[in-house]
Amino acid sequence: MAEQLQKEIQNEVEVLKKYEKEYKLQQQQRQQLNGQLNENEVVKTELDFVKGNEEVYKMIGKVLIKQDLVEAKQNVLKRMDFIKGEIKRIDNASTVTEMKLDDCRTKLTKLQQEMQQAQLASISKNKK
Amino acid sequence: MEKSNDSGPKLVEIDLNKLTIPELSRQRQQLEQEIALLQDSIYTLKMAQSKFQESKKSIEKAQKYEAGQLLLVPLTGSMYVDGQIAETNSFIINVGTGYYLKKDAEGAKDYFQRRLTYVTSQIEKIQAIGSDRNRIKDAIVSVMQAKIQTQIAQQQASKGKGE
Repeated sequence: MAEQLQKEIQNEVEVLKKYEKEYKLQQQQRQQLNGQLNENEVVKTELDFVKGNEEVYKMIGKVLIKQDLVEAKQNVLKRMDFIKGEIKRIDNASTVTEMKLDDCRTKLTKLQQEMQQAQLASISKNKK
Repeated sequence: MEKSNDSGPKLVEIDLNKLTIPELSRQRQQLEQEIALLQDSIYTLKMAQSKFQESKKSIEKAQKYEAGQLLLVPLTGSMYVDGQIAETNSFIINVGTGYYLKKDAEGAKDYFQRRLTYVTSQIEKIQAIGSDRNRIKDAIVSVMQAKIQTQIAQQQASKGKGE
């Protein structure tokens, strides 16, 4: 009985670890995307500030290529939309992982309580 | 961006006395991690701040020179060639994600000033969140200590009864 419980606990711990890893990865991706979104936002506000005598370039490979201002603005907006979509996707995925983590944790505490009870029972038996 | 919610600290304080010691210690750990992260961000932002400041200063320096002035251009660390300043009122600045803008000196300085104001305001925001988190952490620690003490007292009392 105790051995079986032990095994179950071990399995559950493995699953928990897996989900924790997944969650951490998702958080990292989310943070990276957030950073990219911020950077794009800065670029957008700067492009909005551009005056008539100023020129816009984009680094492609190692060279700067002159860009059309309107086109550049559109490209940045497109990029931001894409990143926002990605953030939404990651957020949805991480809420699912969070739920799984919670499930796993409650299961584990339950198993550990059973284990404790089993141990207590066996101790009192031995005393008798 | 994270917002510090006004109702947050109050809610936590109500909860604190109901939490068990392991729960409190987990909360404390989480807060400590958060505080460390915030401090890291402040450090990074300060680096950015000084970089922008430096860039702004170097534009001011470059403005002092006149076109046609001679200078030595470093090709490698130890080899220089003669050069001439062609223009002192045109700068190309990197605004992020591969975009560069060609601006005159005033425009470029304006840009760096904007970035500086932004970064400074971010630092202030994060510092506010950080001190908020520190306050919550202190509250948790004091509740935890009180709980541990009562637990010790209870244990001693039950021991006394047992004897």
